Amino acid sequence: MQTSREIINAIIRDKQCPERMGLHEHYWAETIGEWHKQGLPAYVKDGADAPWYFNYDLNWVDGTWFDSSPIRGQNIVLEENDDTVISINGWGNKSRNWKKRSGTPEHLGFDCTSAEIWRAKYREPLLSLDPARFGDLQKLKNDYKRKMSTDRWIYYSNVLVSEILRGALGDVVMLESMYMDPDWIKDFNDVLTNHLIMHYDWLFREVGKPDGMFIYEDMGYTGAPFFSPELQRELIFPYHKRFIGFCHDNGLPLVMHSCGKIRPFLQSIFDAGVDCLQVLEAKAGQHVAEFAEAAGNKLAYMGNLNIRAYETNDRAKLEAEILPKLDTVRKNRIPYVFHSDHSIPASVSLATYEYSLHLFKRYGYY
Amino acid sequence: MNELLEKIAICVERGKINVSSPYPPDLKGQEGADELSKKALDSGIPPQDILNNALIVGMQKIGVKFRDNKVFVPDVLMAAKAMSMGMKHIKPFFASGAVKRKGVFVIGTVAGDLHDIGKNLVSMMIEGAGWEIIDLGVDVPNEKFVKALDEHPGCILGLSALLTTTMVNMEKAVKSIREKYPKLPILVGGAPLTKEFAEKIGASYYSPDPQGAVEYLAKIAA
Repeated sequence: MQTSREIINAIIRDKQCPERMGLHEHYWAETIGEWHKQGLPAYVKDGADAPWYFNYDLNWVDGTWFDSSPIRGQNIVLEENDDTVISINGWGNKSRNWKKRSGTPEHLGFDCTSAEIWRAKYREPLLSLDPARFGDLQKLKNDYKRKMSTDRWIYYSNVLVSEILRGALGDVVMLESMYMDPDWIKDFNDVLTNHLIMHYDWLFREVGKPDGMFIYEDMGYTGAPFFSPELQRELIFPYHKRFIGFCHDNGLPLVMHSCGKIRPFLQSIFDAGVDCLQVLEAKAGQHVAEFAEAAGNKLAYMGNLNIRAYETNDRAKLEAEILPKLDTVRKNRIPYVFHSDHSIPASVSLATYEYSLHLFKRYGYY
Repeated sequence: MNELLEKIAICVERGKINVSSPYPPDLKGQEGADELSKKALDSGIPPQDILNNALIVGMQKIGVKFRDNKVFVPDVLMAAKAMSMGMKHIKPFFASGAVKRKGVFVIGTVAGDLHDIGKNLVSMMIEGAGWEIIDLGVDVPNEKFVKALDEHPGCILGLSALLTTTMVNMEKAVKSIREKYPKLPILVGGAPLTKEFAEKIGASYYSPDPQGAVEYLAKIAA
């Protein structure tokens, strides 16, 4: 029987179909707590424990998603109540966040709103190596050693330029500046890409290399990509290619996550060297078979199981979503990792989720 | 159509804000919605005509292209920016009654949800179609929606939710609002929603894109 590492290396690194499909998942923050009420053992404390409990093939090293903001560690709390906290982060971004719930923040104001401000306040601190960004390095090393000694496929994770731009500039300034000041966007992405490469290069030497990288890089919403394929090619793609090239030079394949409809970017994603595309939102009208047909199985895929079907908590509807997709994956020999098309919310019962795993165990073979 | 109005509509559609704006590159150095709207007023064109036959026309065109995935969010943002520069010259005429809006549209993201980009895009497009926008923001409690409806009789309501986890709050909001306003037109939108969900919770209309909302409002206002 192949190990998880062998299975995922075959799927993601080699784009092959091993003896079975891979298995992984993400959760919203409230889900595990809700499942405790439904019988999930208390020792599964959070999403970090879930990969062991549910026997996922992939796991990550804690602490590798470092703070890449110019004012490292800044979190000035301005206002707080039982539900939310308003704070200013290391980009000077004022936002309101939920304290006990998942969801993206409410953006209340951004400081980095022009090339002039970027150059005056935020660019310089990103140009040099700052290992303190990784926080408790000994803890990170211990987690690395512990996880790499298992048979799981272990990754480092972070966000890349598109996601960092949105967080730093806000949607409106980012998207308008793609037209109004593309040279600023290029400079921003150039600096941040070098910043990420510099820090992971140091981490690889100081701690060690994982099995691969997992990059979260939202580029779309349900209806369409956030920006045109032409803008993606000009302003985002060159930095993806550079970062992925760095990973490949280190022998590491890369999984790229993006929410939303990103089908128009498929060629660009492929040209940049992405090894596995995650999460293929089904509600954005995307199907793994269509992607695989277009990319000729030169990419691996993770996701695409419609979370709306899970949320019905109806076994027949879950089967109607999962079984035809697994059948298509098997028949078309698509390198594939079983995963929902985003994250499992608390509205999905533990019994429903366990039933989806039962279907995977029974039908997730090539 | 008057040549000047046509030019303003093109500036809005293509996101040409003013003469100093570098975008779009092929219109660099040319006057934008800002200068041309002022020029139109100075030449005696009634402000209502500038609004209806130029600014709204440009936004309508970009809205259709956006619905059809021919343009993307940055194009809509630039168009809305150009529209607002033109509107700057028209706004003083609202107070005098020389320019009338099509109605009032109250909008907000439901309780428990902090997302605003989708709501803001819809607001831009509906404002660009000639409606007054009352934006209640995000994480809006049901009673705040009801209060806004009380303050703006005859308005239309739009509710947004971006998370599957907050769709349930949208259902509660509609139920609460329907107790006082059973026949109020309520539009709903957001990534996880479907037409079936909208019907189930008693909303009047679901639109997957801003242009659908604009067209629904146009039908109601007709």
